[in-house]
Amino acid sequence: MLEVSQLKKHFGALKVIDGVNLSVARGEALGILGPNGAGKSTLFNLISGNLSPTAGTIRLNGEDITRASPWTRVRGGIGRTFQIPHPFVHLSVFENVLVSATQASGRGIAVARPEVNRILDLCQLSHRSRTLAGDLPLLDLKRLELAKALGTSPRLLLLDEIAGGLTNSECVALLAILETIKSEGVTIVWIEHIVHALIKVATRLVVLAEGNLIANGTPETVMADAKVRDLYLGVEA
Amino acid sequence: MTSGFVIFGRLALAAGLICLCIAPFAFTPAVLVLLTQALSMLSLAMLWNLVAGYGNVMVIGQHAFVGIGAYAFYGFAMLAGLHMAVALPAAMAVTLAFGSMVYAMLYRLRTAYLAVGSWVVAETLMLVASRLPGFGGGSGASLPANLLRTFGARVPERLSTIYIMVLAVAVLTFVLIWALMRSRIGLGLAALRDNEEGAAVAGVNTRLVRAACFILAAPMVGLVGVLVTLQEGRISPVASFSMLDWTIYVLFIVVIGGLGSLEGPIIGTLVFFLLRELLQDYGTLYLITLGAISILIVLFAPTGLWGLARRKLGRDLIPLTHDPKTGGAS
Repeated sequence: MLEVSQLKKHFGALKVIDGVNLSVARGEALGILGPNGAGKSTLFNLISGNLSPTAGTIRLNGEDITRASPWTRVRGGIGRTFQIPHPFVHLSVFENVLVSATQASGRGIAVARPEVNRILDLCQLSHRSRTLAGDLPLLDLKRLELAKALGTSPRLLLLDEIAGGLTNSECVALLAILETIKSEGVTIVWIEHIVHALIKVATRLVVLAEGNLIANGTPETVMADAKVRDLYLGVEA
Repeated sequence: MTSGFVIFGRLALAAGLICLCIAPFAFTPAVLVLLTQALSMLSLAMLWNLVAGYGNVMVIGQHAFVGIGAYAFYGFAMLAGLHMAVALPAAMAVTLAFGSMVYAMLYRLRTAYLAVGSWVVAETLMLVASRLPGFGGGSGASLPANLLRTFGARVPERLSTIYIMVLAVAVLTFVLIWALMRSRIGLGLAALRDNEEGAAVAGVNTRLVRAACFILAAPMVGLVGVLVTLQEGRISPVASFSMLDWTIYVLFIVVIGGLGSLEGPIIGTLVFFLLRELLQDYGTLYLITLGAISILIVLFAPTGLWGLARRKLGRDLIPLTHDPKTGGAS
């Protein structure tokens, strides 16, 4: 579904992404691990079109989208969340999701309304639907970030540290939502530091360090990899 | 209590509109002139708020389109001899064309670069206007008495006719912006106002909506330029392209009222004209006071007076929101 080839992003002399190759199959749930500054969020920004790459190509369902705008990619089926939530603070929770449910698809407001209510139910935000997004606590902001991404009806969902800052019980609730999304056939790529949560959803893991992929395989294989344990987990091989 | 204030606010808005509708029959010519000026500024403030507050296109060259509208109208009505009913839409069409060209030049610029770039374009156009043959050069030209008489044989009649036109344009501007903001496109604009990066990944074509705001506001600004020309009875580069009158004061109105809200320009216009009437005899002190108020508002209430009030009230006076259940405005 997604093919990233020789992708590079340099900011002057700083090589944040330096020749990453990555494929994601339809229906797969891929986890991305890596220390802070490894280039994980930059990789997402390149895939979603928020940044332009220095070199390399990105293909979605065989189509080259390397230079496409973010909104064109959304129409192509890419939805994403940000590590730091990007709510529309002066709009209500309902309207936040209504934005994503109407803009990408071109649906009218009245037509999109039932779908927005379904997504709010799924993300356990129905009771907050009239609350201004600027007034939400962190957990609900994270849920809203997910709900907004789901509003675009994504076939490929990019999740950037969606579980960061959540308590154990909140994390369990989030995992249940992600399992539902996965069961609907949505392909998931999830950047996360909370490994125990990630491996409950991910069927494959890759590890990014200093702009390069250093490991790729099943969660068991990757977590047992000596280089990963040394570089990322800080466990000597 | 809160909903009581909202009801009171809505009643005050309705009462204000009724007063404006009966003004030609109820007020002296001097008050009518003041109201005409205030409504012209309100239209400009609502349009600049649409472009800068919602569209995130921070231009400070809006005065260019006031001047283009004025000069195009003069050219069509006086030099080409076209009837008013033709000259007016033709002037709007010229402003639309200029708006498209200026946006094509400036659309890659952002923030301070866009502000300065739009200012430079406006000043250049003013210099061009001062050299146009047939438009009176640097000192400008007056509209002939026979043209002004088409709005009324006597001055009070003329003032009433122009006032009604200005009121109609202000109401039309308000209704168009309200309808736009209630639509799917307006929802995208509200998202763009709050978070441009987030709006783009929610599917908002930010490039298109920013362009649409700028280009579609231009002919309406040009129309206000025509009406200002009719009020003044003349065109001149300095007055028609006045940055202070058509951009700086407008910016003051929107900033103190509340950028990115429908209520902000209305409140800002009221405050601006109140201050002007109270302080205009104090010369530069008046301008210093306006500047000081702007700085205080930006520092301590960046969402403007309406932003402060809205936080207390919890809802808008002019409903734009989409309700989860009913679909109506709440």
